[in-house]
Order: sequence, then structure tokens, then C-alpha cells
Amino acid sequence: MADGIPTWEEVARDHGRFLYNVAYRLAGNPDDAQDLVQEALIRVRKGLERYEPGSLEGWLARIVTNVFLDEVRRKRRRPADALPDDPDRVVPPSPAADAAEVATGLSDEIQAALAALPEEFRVPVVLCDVADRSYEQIAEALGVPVGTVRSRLHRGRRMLRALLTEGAA
Amino acid sequence: MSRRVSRIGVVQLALFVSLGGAVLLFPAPHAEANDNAAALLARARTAASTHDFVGVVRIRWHTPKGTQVADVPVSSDQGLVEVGLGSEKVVGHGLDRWAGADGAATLWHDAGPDQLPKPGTKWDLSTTAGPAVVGRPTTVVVARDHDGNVRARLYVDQSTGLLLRREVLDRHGHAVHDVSFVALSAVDNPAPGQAPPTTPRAHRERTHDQLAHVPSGITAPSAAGDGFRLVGRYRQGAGVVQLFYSDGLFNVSVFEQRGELDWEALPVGGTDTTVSDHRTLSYETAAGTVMFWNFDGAVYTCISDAPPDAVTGLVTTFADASDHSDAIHDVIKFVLGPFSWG
Amino acid sequence: MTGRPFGSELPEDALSAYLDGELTADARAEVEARLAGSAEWRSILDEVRAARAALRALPVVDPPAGFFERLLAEAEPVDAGVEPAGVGVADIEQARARRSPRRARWVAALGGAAAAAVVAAVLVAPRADRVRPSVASLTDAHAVRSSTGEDSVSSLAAVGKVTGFRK
Repeated sequence: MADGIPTWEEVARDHGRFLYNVAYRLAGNPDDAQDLVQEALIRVRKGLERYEPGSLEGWLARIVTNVFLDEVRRKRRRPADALPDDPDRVVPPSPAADAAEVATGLSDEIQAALAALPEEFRVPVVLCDVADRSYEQIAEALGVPVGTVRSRLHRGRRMLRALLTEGAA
Repeated sequence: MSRRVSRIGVVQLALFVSLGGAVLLFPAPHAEANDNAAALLARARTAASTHDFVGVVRIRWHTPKGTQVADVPVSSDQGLVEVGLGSEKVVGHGLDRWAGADGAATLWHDAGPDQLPKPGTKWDLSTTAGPAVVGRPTTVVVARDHDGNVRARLYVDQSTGLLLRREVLDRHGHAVHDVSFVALSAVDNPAPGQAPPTTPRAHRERTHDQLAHVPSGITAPSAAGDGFRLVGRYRQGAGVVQLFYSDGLFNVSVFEQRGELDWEALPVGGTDTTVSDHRTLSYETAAGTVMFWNFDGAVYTCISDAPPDAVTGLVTTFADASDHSDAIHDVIKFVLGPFSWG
Repeated sequence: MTGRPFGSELPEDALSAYLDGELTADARAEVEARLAGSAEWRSILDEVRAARAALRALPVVDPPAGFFERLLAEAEPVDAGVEPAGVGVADIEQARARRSPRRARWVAALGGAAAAAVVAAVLVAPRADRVRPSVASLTDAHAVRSSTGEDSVSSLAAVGKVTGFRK
């Protein structure tokens, strides 16, 4: 760890599991989670994200969130890229619908509900309740005011609860 | 909890009173059913903006490739209704709609719904106790066509009047389009005396420009298909005219522009049908049926939440209007007489 | 919905902040006073608490065995040199390709298809009088107009959801 900046190998070895868990809860499936982690590590390796000593996991959570949001934006910008001629495929079944069918345990149901939350709400919820970040850290990571984090987090949790209650009914 | 129970009691009492009133005014069973149903539908129109809630709405539609699903978050806060997120978000307040990125790109002002036809004129409406939707007891408004086939079911929350589910069926009774709450929490009356949340700032402001006359070469029948009435004509920019039809229950927009349709640019997977000797191509989407056709130098894009066969009926009217020069003369000269709210 | 006051300036999202220990002592006292007097607030607090607890109880998940080892091994040759800055969003596709030869082929195939589509588009470029209706914006215009004549939620839900038609 030269200059206090962790190398990406150190990050992978010592904090890979944390990184993967945040990525997994953001993306909702192992395949995309692996892609997010790999891209996050590339950014660490290339020094593309400024490191501030003190909160290594906060820094990693921010990086993987940025990777995730970049990917969301990329998909939104070019929603029909891969299959431009097939309208049926352009709006895919929601993650909730997909995941609900294969949900076997309680954690699968929670994961499915989480995946059904729009990104705007899912990200603060994951950063707070999975990555255990403070409101201020989340606000900084997302570049939004703390008040926005607070309201999105609260709305996200209420929606999640509503989805879980619906699933149980 | 006790607050909610007492509210339900008041609503039921109000419903009971209104039902009683309906019986006195409309002793014939058919009229009574239609009237009750119409009252429920009228209430459902505004319930989303008169109750605060957070929820998720699921759209399901059926294509030859199977059922498609999209989930949309919705919320209402003191009359400000938010649907969707990001660039897909629409914010509604009264008759204003803000659409676009962050709900603030474009402000639409709109005319009121007062001039829509009464749904009971075309549809045989009845009400029945329905299943719970998101755990809330419902009354279902059932709409039957002339042949007695059920073509739509609207599930209305008994306590708030909120429309919880809207199901559209084809001629054979199969659901083709379904919009339903899958999660809903915190349905409350807004706290009195509070300032409403601020509406978004519009970068661009536009109205649905009412047209007193449609431009030359544009066909605009005043009635089309089975019981659809023209209730509005608007300029959409880039030479596109929107003709807005309603039968009181379903709405259809026919977008018309001069030119030749680039059929090859349309996605594969559409249903190719010939209507009145004209080729049409249609798709089932989250918004309902989208149908294209092209004749007499005009391109038509029809979008509707009505059952697919209702759209086909509409095409016939347009095709006939185009094929008969007398009719074409009449429709082109159609003036927006009774609908002059613009 | 957030910030909805219940007869005072205290917004409802204070309840989440309360659970997360993100309130000042004064604000905490205010929330507690409100909770004592409002069954509705207590019920919302229960809801949010249940959601929060469910999320925090999610099990830790592990990547497939050897995932990080593979990443480390694959990266070594690249590490020797300095990679150019200005990495864009395409990186994630490259990352995918690096991770899986199967995906590499898939990405290449897609690239080929995209190139073919570009060639096809150039070859069959529309004539000037050919009309391609802007379906996405037309469906939105229909939904917005419809929403004032019927329940607004069911008609507005479709806004932005009709894609796949070329502009």
C-alpha cells in the first residue's frame, strides 16, 4: 500500500467480499455483480477514483456504485441496442417478476423486492443497509444533498416493505 | 387503524346514500347499474390526487412471444402524483403534467375531461364485489359489449375510490392488457392546511394545442369505429396532428402526418392485417395497441388502451373516409364546433 | 411522499433517520413525542424498521470460487504497462470479455451485428418522404392526454415504456 493508497490486489484480497456483496445487492444477480466488481477493480488499478485515507470501504462502495450507475445510464441511453428489431425484448420482464418465480427462501424474496426497487431508491438503501454507510457518505458518493438521501432511503424502505407484504399476501 | 375503520364507515355510508339516490332517480336496473358504475369511475378519476400513497404499479401485456411486464413506482403527495422515475417520470398536478428528465423538461397544460362521452352510452356497465387487490377490498366495474362479452374490469378500492387494477380483455375473454398495483402503502387523506409540495420547474412549456380546423389533407372523422367520438385535435409538431377519440371508457389517439410510411423501419414481430383493403401493422405494447397504416399520402399511427379489435374498427372508418371523396370532403372540413374549449 | 407533514414541520422520513441514528438529540426527542401521540407514525416506524431489519439480515454472499484469484492472474500482464486514461463506459464490456471467453465471442458477435446493421442502414437509408413515426413520443402524448380523462396512474404508467421503434 504505497502512499496509503491500497493496490488493487490488496483491495481484491482483503475487501473483495465486501465489494462483491455491495455489487450483488445493487445488481441483483451474480453475473452482473462479477462484472461490476471487475470494473470497479479496474478503476482502482488505474487510479481513476480519488482515494481519501480513512474509509476504505466507503471509497470502494462509492466506486462500485459509480460503476453500477454508469451501467444503468448506459443501458438507458441505448435501451434497444442489442436487439433493435424486437419490441418484445426491449422492455424485459422486471427483475421482481423474474426473481419472484425462483424465490425459494426469505432472502430470495428480499433480494427480489430489492431488485424491483428503482435504482434511485435501491442505491441509497444498499449503501445504508448493506454497505453500512452514513447518510453523509452516501450523499457524497451520489453527489446529492443529505436530505435527498434521507427521503429516498425512507421511500425505498417503504416500497420494499410494501413489495414484501404483497409477496406474502 | 381505528381512523381507517371509521373512514371506511363514512365512505360506505356515502356510497349507500348515493346508491339509494340512484335507485330513486333511476328505477330501471340497467340504468341503476350504469349509474353506480359511472359514479365509481368518476371518483376513480380523481382519487389518486386526493389520497396520499406510495406504491408500485405493474403493467402486463401480451405479445405473441409471451407476457411482458414492467413495474413502475408511483406516489401521491397532497395532490402531486408522481409516476415513474428519471427520464420516464411524469408528475401530475390537477390537469398539468410535467414529463421528461427529472419530471421537469416539459409542462403540458390540458383541457378537462368534461366533454368525454358517458361510458354507459356504449358499454353495459355493472358493479360487483371484487377480490382484494394489494390486500384492499374492491368493487369491480364490469364493462360488457353489445354481445354481452366482458371487455374490461376496473377494480376500485372500496375505501378510497382509487383504481387498483384495470384489465382489458379481448373478444374471447382473455386479458390483453392489465395495469395493477402490486404494492401500496400509506393510503391517507392529505393532512389539511399543509402547503402542497412544489411542482417541478418546467424548462419548456407547451399545451396540447387545440386546433380549430385540421390542416388540409388530414382526415378527422367526428365519430369513428364503434362509438368513439372525436373529443380533441392537437398539433404535435413536425406536421403531426393528434386526433383524440374516446368512448367514455377507452381512449384512442390517431396521429396523422403527410408522407409515406417507412414500413421497413418498423420492428419485426408486428401483426400484419388487411383492413378495408389497406395493410396495417400492429404491436402490443405497455401503452396498449400501436397500429400503423398508410393511405392516400398520409401516415397514421394509432395508439389505444382499448381492446385490439376496437382499433381495427377505427381503421375502417378512416379507410372509408379516405376512399369516398364526398366523405373526405366532409371530414376535412370538420370544424370543432361542440368542443370549443380551446 | 417524503417530507409529508402530519400537522407539523417534522417530515416522515425523520423516522428512517431516527432508526439510523442520524438525528440530533432535539430531533430525536421530537420524533419520540410524535410517536407517543400518533398510532400512524408508530405503524410507519414498524414498517420501516421491518424493511431495514430484513435488509440487514441478508446473508453475506460469496463470488464463485476462485473469482478473485482469476482476476489477479489475468491482470498481471496488463499491469506491467500503464493503461491510457479516459476510460469510458465501454470498459465494462471489455471487462466482461476478459472474464469470459464465451462472452468475448458474444460481444464480438454483437459488434459484428451492429456493424452489419450500420451498413444495412446506410444501404437502405430512407428516402426523404419516408415517414418514421416517433412512436415513443407519440405514446407519451397519448398517455398524457388520456390521463386527464381517466385515472391518471394507469394511463401515465406507460410513459417511457414503449421503446424499440426506430426514430
